[in-house]
Amino acid sequence: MDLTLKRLEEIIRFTMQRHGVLLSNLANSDTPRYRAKDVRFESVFDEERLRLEKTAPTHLRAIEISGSTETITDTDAPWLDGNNVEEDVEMAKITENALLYQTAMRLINDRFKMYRNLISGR
Amino acid sequence: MNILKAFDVSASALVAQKRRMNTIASNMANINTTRTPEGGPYRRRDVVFSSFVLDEEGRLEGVGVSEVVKSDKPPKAVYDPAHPDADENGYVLMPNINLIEEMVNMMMATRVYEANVNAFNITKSMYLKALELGR
Repeated sequence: MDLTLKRLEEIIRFTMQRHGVLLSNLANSDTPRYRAKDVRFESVFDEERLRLEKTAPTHLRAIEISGSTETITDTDAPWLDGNNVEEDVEMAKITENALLYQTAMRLINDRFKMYRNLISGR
Repeated sequence: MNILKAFDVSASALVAQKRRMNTIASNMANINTTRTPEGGPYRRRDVVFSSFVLDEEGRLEGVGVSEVVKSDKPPKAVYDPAHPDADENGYVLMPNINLIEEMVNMMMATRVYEANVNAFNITKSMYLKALELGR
């Protein structure tokens, strides 16, 4: 399988998961005792599996995005009701995450276009 | 994750904030109400939010109004002997509602509502982007 597409697919899956968690934070910005959550993004370097040829140490390494995501909870609670959601921070995170998603989508589309050109021989 | 469930998260927040808005509106409307079905002056109401899990993994959490509580602050005694509900000393028991507090609450509700509408639109544009794949 095309490894680039696989990586992009992982980004899509991750950003969608994170989007849901961030939406939950925003929805619960007034819920007493609710703690903001985020999804941790684990990346592992797995050169063996990717079979990337590396002839110099400065070459870029392929990044494997691990599927195991955990929900983390911040411990500080600035509000008296035990809630620690900051709407502006969540909004910024949502926007940033959506942009990452759209970038991955764009790259997938470009990849498809490349294949199409290749097949039609133009 | 089902992206359609993400819409439910934002929708639940919109509904909850709207209920909060209704409560604030009735508080402001009844700022001078001295007679209520349960007797005595109107008592200020407030909504209590609670979160609920929307998906199997417990990642998505919506919000709902779990109860509407009545304030137990004592009513204000206002001297107004001409008022039909005045007692023998000329004092009327008025609802203990602070207009500024209600206005601040209303602005907060509006802002949270708007933020959730924005988040809803972002989810929508992400969903539409996925439909355009391979075009």
